[in-house]
Amino acid sequence: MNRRQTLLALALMPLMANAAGNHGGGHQETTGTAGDPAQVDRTIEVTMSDRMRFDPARIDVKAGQTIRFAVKNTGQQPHEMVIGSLDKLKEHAEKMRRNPGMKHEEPNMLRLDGGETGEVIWHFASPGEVDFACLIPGHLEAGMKGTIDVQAAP
Amino acid sequence: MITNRHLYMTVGGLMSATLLAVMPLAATADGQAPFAVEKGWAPPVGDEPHGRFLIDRLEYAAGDDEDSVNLEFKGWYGGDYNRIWIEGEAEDVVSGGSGGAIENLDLLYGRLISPYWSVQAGVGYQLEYGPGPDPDRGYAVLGLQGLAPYWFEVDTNLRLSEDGDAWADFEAEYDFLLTQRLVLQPRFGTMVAFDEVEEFGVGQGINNVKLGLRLRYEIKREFAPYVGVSWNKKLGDTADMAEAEGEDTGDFRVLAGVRMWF
Amino acid sequence: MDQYETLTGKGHSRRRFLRNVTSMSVLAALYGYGGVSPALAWPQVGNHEAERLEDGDTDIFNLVIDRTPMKIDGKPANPITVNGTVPGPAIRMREGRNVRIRVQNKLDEWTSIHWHGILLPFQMDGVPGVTFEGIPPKDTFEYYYPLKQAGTYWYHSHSGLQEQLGHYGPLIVEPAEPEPFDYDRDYVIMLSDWTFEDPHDVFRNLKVAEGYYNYQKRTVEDLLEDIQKKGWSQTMRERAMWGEMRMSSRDLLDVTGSTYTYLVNGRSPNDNWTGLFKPGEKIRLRVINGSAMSFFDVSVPGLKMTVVQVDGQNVEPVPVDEFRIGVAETYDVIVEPDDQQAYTIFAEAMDRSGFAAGTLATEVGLTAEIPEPRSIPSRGMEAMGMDMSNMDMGGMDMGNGGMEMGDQSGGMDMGGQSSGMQGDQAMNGQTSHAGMAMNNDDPAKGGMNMAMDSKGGKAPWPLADRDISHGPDDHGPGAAMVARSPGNRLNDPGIGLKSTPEHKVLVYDDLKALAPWPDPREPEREIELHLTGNMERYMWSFDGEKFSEVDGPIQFHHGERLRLILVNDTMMDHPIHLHGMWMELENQHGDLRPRKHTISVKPGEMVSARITADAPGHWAFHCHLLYHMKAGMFRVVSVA
Repeated sequence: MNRRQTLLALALMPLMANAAGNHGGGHQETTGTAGDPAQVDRTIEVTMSDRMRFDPARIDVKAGQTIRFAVKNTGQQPHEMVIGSLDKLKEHAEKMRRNPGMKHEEPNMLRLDGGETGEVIWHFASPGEVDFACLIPGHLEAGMKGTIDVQAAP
Repeated sequence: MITNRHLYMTVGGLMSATLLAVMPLAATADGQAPFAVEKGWAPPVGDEPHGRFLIDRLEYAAGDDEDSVNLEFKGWYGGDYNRIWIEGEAEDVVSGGSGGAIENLDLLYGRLISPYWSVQAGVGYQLEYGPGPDPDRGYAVLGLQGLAPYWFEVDTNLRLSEDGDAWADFEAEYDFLLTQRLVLQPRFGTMVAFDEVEEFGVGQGINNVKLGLRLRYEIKREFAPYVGVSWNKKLGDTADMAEAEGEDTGDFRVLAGVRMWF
Repeated sequence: MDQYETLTGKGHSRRRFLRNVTSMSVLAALYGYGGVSPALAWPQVGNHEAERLEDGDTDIFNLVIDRTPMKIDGKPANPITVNGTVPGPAIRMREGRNVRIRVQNKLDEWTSIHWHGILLPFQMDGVPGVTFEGIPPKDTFEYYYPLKQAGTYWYHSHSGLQEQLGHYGPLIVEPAEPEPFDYDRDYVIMLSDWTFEDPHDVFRNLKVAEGYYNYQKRTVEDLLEDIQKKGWSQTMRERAMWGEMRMSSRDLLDVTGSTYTYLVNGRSPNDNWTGLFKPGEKIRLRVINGSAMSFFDVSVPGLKMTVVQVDGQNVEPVPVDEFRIGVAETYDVIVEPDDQQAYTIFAEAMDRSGFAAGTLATEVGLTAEIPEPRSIPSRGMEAMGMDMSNMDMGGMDMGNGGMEMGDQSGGMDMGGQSSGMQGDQAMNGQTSHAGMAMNNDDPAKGGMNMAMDSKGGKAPWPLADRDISHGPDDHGPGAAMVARSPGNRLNDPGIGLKSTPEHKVLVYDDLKALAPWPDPREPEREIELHLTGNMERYMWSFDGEKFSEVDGPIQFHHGERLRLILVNDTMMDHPIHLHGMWMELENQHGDLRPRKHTISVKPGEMVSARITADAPGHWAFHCHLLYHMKAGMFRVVSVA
């Protein structure tokens, strides 16, 4: 997602949040909502690679924080970073597998071709565990997923 | 007569030898690298000869007047292209009369000339025995054997006797699979003679039509008992000659036998 | 519990590297193969490993080849064993190190071990008559070579018909770098076909009696059914086509379940091989087809399988429900059972004449249902390599799949039909059959306009414009047929399989390498070879010439970049194996070609692969169907 897309996403946020809800199946309460770029508390760099792994695969944040994930795809294959609960992510991955070529574009996700960089801004409202994964068919199954530990604010 | 037969045997033998000479003999070269040949290593895959002896019909044939035991076999040994064949057909009357015949006993060299066809050449022997004289003769054979379109097994031969008489036979059979092991096999045979040969009861022209229908059950591929019927009808001059001898021109039989191979 | 775990195989734990191999052998000896319940009758062959000794930068293995009486499927057998078992022990080598393998031949005959898929100096390749003389009876041989690759492979005898007698086992090369997938448990699933007949008798039966093992031929009943289904005239037309060619649409495998017992890790379905798991774990199944003659369709009903490696090479993961494994191929898949139950690992022979099966379960003794056998598929016109676009389709209702030539219920796939038309677009059978339209003169060439895109787009098929020339003799008596218009069938899962969104079956076009291979050159030279055969006399060959009929090897020039083109002029699927060098299969993924040691070529299919001839020496190149190889479908490739 480039800057313009980010701005567009922001402008359409109410709409998009709804869309995300459809996708994630109403899990905003636990996984969070699209974040406001003006309100970013912290930037976390994440790389995705053809090793079918995220680095880091385990991220600690605090409830109430808005995080900018600066994502780089160091591989040659396209990869995605999609934030959600693992069950919903798996469900979505299955949907994608059955509909090859299906495009999805939501604030909780980012798709990058090999060598590209981009960002996801996400607000973690409440404590708990939030997952992220690459939903390109096969990638999640191969192990391309990670966990965000949202700790209760002090 | 003996000399004549020897002559024809020799001619047949020569024919076979010529054909054998034409074929590429056991290849001295194969796909092996010269490196491996120099070391004297055996080739990675060989080309061993195989063989099979098929008793196509060993059956008891019950007719109106007489019963007989019939035998037909085909054996071969050799490679994919060149094979030596021994083929024969015989009949022995066991009740209602006596005598019988070795209709043919052929020793052939066969060569594969196309995926489904091989030509055969060699020598053969024919004998009739029983009451009265026991005529026999030797002959040279040139044959074509194979699988025709629609899976008809075809075997046809041209024979030339030591006395210069020529005749041809043709046989075709087909396997209907009723189930995987139950096979219905219709069979058709005929013989045409170019010369009349009285001692064998052979008239000029079409001699006969033979029809058979056998139902076999393959207990194993190698062993299949069967039941069936056959009907042989003599035609033309041959029929006239048979009638003159007081024989029937039509012969219907009920059969029970076994087909097996080793 | 510990014993149970050992005996039923807990898989290779990546987290516990050291395994007590010795105690396992002792257990094996203790339990033997009698007196205990079938599930525990034999240690989990295929998941026991050869002891690995270390000496500096070299790993050392000791293997003993012998005859060992044992029970297979509960019946006495006398297989050729490696270290006493069938399959032999898994040999775990390590990338970047050397191996020294001491092989002791206790047999009364010559033997050998070929390391299938491993790139090594040719003297170590283990093919008697090509790379060495063989291992004489009661003698030893020492293999020594460096490992420059990783993945799942296998080893087997290359002498006579010993492979059919049990002389094979898994070979795993542990990677130097982490693999692009994750798993918690690691099981080898080695599929094979066992016969209680002497393999030489099997070969003779094939040689002297065509169709000896086929008890699935078309019968009068099939004919009547067809007439009922398709009407008299179409049935007759179809029968006539087959009849004219003297070919059988039910000629799928030469040797069938009528003599074979199909095995998972040496165990019949009755002896149910079981691998244990804990719910939520990712299990890596290293599926190896160590059969002599059998293609299998592999599934784990209830679980999705994600294919992560093929022939030991990483591919972009593909989730599938089923895949067909040709003889000698390997597929590594990840399954992730997350509940407390058993799953069947099901490997059905391609001709449906039998199956191999094992179980994944959370505890010993649990079993899952074995799927119902599917109906026997029949080959369609595509197998004849006919270009259907030039045929009068008059009464043949293509749109409704009316061309299917056998059991419609068997799920003959339309993808296969379309390939007969060289239909590149139609190949996307899962999404649309639009390409089937007969007014499309040449879909293959139309499909060429697609942009080259190594990132996953559709690359043009290099053979799309190729004219296949058959000489006036059509390869001679050794070839019963030729494919007049062989086509692209890379998106065809094969006979009897159909890929749908609900049931995805892997095809070669799904396989995509993760990165381009080191040699970016375009091919400088093309070598076209035709796969040929004559069923009536069981002659199998390349270009109509058996090994005994050709004069010397196929020459590769050292260092050159080649395109090998294989055209299947027969009615059978042939797994073609090149020793010593990779074949980069040219599918739709352009630079990201999957790399293979064995390529299965379907009837009427034409495929191509790029090869870098970087391995000087002499290499075997052959059909990996054991009896096809024995019958002459074998060549030597000399690289100099």
